[in-house]
Amino acid sequence: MSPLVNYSKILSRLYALRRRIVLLRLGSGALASIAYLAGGFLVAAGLSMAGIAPVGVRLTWWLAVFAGLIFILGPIVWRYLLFPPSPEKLALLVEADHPQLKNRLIAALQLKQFLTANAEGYSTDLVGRTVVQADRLCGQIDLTASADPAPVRFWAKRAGILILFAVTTVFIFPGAVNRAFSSFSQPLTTIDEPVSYTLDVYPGNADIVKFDTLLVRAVVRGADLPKRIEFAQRAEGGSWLSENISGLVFTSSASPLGPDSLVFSARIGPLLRDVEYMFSTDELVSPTFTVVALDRPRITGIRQAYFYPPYTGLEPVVIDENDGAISALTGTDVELTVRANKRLAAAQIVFDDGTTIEMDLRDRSATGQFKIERDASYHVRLVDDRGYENPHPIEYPISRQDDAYPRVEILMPGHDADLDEEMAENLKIAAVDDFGFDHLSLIYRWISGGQLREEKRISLELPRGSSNTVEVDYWWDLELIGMMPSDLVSYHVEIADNDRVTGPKISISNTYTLRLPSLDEMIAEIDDRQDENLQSLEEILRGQQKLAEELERLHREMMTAEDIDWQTQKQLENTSAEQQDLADRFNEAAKEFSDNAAALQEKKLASAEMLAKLAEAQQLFEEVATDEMREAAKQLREAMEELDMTEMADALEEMQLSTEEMIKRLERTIAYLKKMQAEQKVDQMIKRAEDLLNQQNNLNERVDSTDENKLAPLADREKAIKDEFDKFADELAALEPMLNDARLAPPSLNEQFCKLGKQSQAPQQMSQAAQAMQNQKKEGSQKSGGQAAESLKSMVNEMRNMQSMMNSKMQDEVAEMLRKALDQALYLSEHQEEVRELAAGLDQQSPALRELAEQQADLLSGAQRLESAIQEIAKKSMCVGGKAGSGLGAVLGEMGLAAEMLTQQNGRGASTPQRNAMSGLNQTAGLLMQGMDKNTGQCQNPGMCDKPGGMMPRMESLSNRQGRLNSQMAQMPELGSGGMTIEEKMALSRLKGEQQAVRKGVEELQKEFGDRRNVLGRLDKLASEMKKVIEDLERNAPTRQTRTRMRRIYSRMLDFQHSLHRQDYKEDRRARFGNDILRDSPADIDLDAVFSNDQWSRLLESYLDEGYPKAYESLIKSYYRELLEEQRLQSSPVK
Amino acid sequence: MNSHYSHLSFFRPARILCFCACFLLIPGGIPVPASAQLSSSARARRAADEPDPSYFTIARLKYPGGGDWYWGSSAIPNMLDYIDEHTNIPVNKEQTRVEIRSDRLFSYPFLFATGHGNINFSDDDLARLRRYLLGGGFLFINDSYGMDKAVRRELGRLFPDRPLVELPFSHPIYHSFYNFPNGLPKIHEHNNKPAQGFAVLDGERVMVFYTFESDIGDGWEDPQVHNDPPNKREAALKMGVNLAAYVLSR
Repeated sequence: MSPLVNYSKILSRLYALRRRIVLLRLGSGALASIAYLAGGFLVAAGLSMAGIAPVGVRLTWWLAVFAGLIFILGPIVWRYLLFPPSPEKLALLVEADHPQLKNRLIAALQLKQFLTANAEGYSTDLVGRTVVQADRLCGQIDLTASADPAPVRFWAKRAGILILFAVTTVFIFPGAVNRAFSSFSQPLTTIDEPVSYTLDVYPGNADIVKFDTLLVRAVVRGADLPKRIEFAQRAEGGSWLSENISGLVFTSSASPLGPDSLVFSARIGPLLRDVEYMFSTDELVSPTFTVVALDRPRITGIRQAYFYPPYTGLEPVVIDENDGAISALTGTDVELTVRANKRLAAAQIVFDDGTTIEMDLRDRSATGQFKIERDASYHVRLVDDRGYENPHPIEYPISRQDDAYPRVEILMPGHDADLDEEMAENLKIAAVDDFGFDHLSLIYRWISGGQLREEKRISLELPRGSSNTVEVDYWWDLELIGMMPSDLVSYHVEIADNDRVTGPKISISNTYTLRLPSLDEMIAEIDDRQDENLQSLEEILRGQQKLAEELERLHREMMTAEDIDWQTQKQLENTSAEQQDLADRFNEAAKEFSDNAAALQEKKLASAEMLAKLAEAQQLFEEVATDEMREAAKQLREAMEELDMTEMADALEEMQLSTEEMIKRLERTIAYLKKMQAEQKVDQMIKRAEDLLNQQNNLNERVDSTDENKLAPLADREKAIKDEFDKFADELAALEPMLNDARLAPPSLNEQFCKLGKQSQAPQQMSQAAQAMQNQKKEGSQKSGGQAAESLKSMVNEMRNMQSMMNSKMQDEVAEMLRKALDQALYLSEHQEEVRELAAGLDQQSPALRELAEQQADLLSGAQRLESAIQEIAKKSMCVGGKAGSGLGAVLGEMGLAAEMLTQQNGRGASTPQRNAMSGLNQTAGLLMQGMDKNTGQCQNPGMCDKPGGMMPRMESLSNRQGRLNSQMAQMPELGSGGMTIEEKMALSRLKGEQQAVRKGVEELQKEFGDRRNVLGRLDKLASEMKKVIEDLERNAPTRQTRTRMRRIYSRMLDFQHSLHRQDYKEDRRARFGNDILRDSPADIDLDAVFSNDQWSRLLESYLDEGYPKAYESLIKSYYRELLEEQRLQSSPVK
Repeated sequence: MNSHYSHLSFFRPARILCFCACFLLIPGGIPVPASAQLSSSARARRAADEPDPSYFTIARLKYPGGGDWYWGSSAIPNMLDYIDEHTNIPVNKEQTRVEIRSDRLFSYPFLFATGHGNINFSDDDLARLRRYLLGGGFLFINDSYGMDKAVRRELGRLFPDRPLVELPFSHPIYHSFYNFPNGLPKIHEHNNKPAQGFAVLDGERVMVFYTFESDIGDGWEDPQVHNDPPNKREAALKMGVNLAAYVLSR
């Protein structure tokens, strides 16, 4: 091994020693530094014992610390770090600790150089051997042990002691230590002496709800506490406001704040906005704190949604009016949604009984549901996420609305009514409810012979999709009930609403009755009305006669008086008013007559001929009040206003003449009405006899179909028919004087007619039949009943024959009178012509003119007799109209004038009135001839009158059949209401057969009377409509449309009957197609002229609609007329 | 005072509907299939026999007084058929009668009164009819002969301060659909007088149209009833269309 290697080993061992020495030096330096710093700390604490050390002291301290660290540590640490010991020094250190080395180590280090450069010439081997030896010796010892650890121990002891002192100081003198830290940490800062007390503020930053107040406190603790403290506050965006406040001393050690403390309190608020605050003393200022003003939760919006009960059919309703008051139908679900001003943590609906409903939350809104079942109230409680509640919540009412009761009325007939022959009534029922209906029923009780029968109920169909208002038409056929004359049915309707919550509510209508009047009653009623009517006319006639006398007297006075005095003027006024009153009464009587005629027609109590006569009589009424009379009355009024004597006298004369004319016409009308009343009575008696026959036949049918042991109850019915017959016979017998008065026929014929009832065997047979029924002997009942029917039938036929004979006699009598009148008219005309021709050929001075004047006077007398004769004819027949009478009146005037002129020897002057008289006579003769035609053919359309086999009875029969058919159809179920039973199908088949029969009848009528185009109208369409009905029935598919069609058919058939009854009242009515007559257009309408008074007219019309009393209405009219007149005058141009 | 009547303009919706239909659907206008003109609700109404305001119809006035108000049963159906065939005005062909006291009076914009006899309105009838007419209703009175006296008297009572004026040939009623340059056509001959059309007006609107010596109503009847020549019937029906068009356009 090379000695160099050994040398290297030696060096490495030495370097290891050096590293250890350095480490020990660093450790001891660190410990020295700690000790030094602890000492510095103790010095600083010591310096701070009395207070804050001045800057110079603190700076010096710092410098000393730094310097100390540098200078004290230098010899210990820095020297070894900067100048580490050389190997030789290390070797010496080792040699000193290990003398056994005997400097070999030093020698090796020093001689090593000669191994490589042996300039001195040393023995390299020796050198080498020295190195090797040194290495060997070094290897035997631990060189690092030569490093001395004593400094470390030294400084460790001292550092520990000083640290112990420092820690002790900290515990013993914390204030000093604190001051030392705070002051020595900032050596260059001048630090005041610390305050002797502390200032703490409570609660510091805080949140409170708006309008609340907050108590803030400042707590000072320590010595030399201040007696007052300043409190300052500033609203958001505002300026500071301060105040001095006194404190409260706490000296007790038991105080929560500790002894030697003061508390200063101030109150902030009520708070509207955020506020900053702070406290300050002379020495201390607290930080600035903020009090945040928070909102409480409150309702900013409220919305209700109503979900009505399903039965109401109402759509949900949302009420967004920010009103929490709830008013809805019982059973309605209410969804309440509230919106709050802030996010909510909880919400409840709180009811007045304390129950609550939790609401669902969604951010700032809450929703809750409940059902309305009672009247109540509620409020909404809101809680925000800080736990604040809404203050003073509003208590909202909950009003429960009850489903109203339905209302139902029977609109048609809407009063107690009589049934007609159809035995049916068309009911119109109207009902109203708030939310619709469940069912509608017709409830009735039949009262027969004073006995109340069991209540029955018919369910009526409500229109599909009916809402809260319905109108139901129901064709109520009462034929099947089996009502007898004088029976009545009491009925009402019941309706139930569809309230599913509290149950259906039921209302009923007024109760009405339907009565089946007997024919006697109907006839008696019409008779009474006609008697009253006739009496009214007779009173009017008497009034007119009295008036005529008064007019004559006044006229005479006027002719002689020079001036009119007040009394006369008043009498004239009274006369005029009386005339007006009579005219009004006459109009009323005319209307009454018209109503009676309509009633007769409606109740089918008059034959077609009688109806035609009634219509003619109506024409008579129209002729009574003449235009001339109205004109005369008007003239009189005008003359009275102008106080013109001459005109008054003329007007009086005119009025007198026209009144006389009116009296004549009135007399004629009354006479004609009396005769017609007698004829009508005959008609009615025949009708009653037919009715008795029908009743007996119906009873006989019932007997046939009733078991023998059940016949007894029918005996009462037979007795009732007999009683009715007896009454009829009595009335028929009592009719004789009336017929004789009316001179309808020779008295012997009248007597014969009126005794027919008493002579009939029917009552005895009816009694026998009743007895047999009582004894439950069917055969006897059938036999006697059949005989009674035969007797009645025979009586009816006889009555008809006699009526025909009466008509024939009357016709003959009138024909005779007409013939005589015609002869007389022709005779007068012929002689008038002769007298005229003779007079025309004579000289004015001829004495023959006087003779001709006498002849003219004779002709005048003849014309007056003719007038009387025509008047008599007119009382018996309408074949001579009023024109003949009035035309003859003019003839008399002309003849009188001609006679006067002839007396004055004025033959030529007489020619014109003679010619006029002749013409008038010819016209009268023409009218008489027409009258004869009419008399011989009273019914203008043979075949259409009510003769057997005529169109009218046949159509009537077909109508009745159709009516019955419709009634039966009404009982059938509608298609779609379930399958038909076999019985129903059979019934449909029967109805089809019946409808086919009616259709055939109509078609036959169409063929037979096809040329009567003016009455047939749409018979062909009627038949085709029937065909459609038959098709429906064939398919077993009658629908609502089928029923409607059948009703339409029936209605149209009734129309035809009306039309047949009313045919050809006047020949003038006959319609011929006309040719256009070219002419100039009427002038354009001057709307300004016509409607300048439009405003007043509207006012007037509106007042007339107010229903004022008659007298006041007249006053209103006259007032407006004045206004209109004034306006007209104002708008007229000034000339 | 206009407000007094304002609530009575009950025909306005019906008129507007029908008027629009009239001028949109007349021949030459926009062709619309007949089936398309009937809404299901309208059919339902028709089935229920209720007056549907969207369908034009003529109601026969059952007037009191004894006159034969029922005269000419085929007239209205024929007239409605004609309107249906020659215009596209939606028509309800159901025959309707109405009395003045009927609740349904105000549902019908067009009343037809005809006959030969007397008319005698009660005071209540007059007030109600006045309200109907001033509220927009239309009354066509056809004197089939013999009504003149009663008509003039009753119209005088109905509107005491509104004269019955004869309409000039230039009046729109003679030109509203077909052209009648010489005024009212003469259909039937009675007294050899020219046909005249009179009216009671509310402003410029004709409330009552009264035909005298013309007898249009008879002309509407079946041909075999009066055996009228076709041209006469045609003229009567055309004049009827004019009346309908006039009513629907006012």
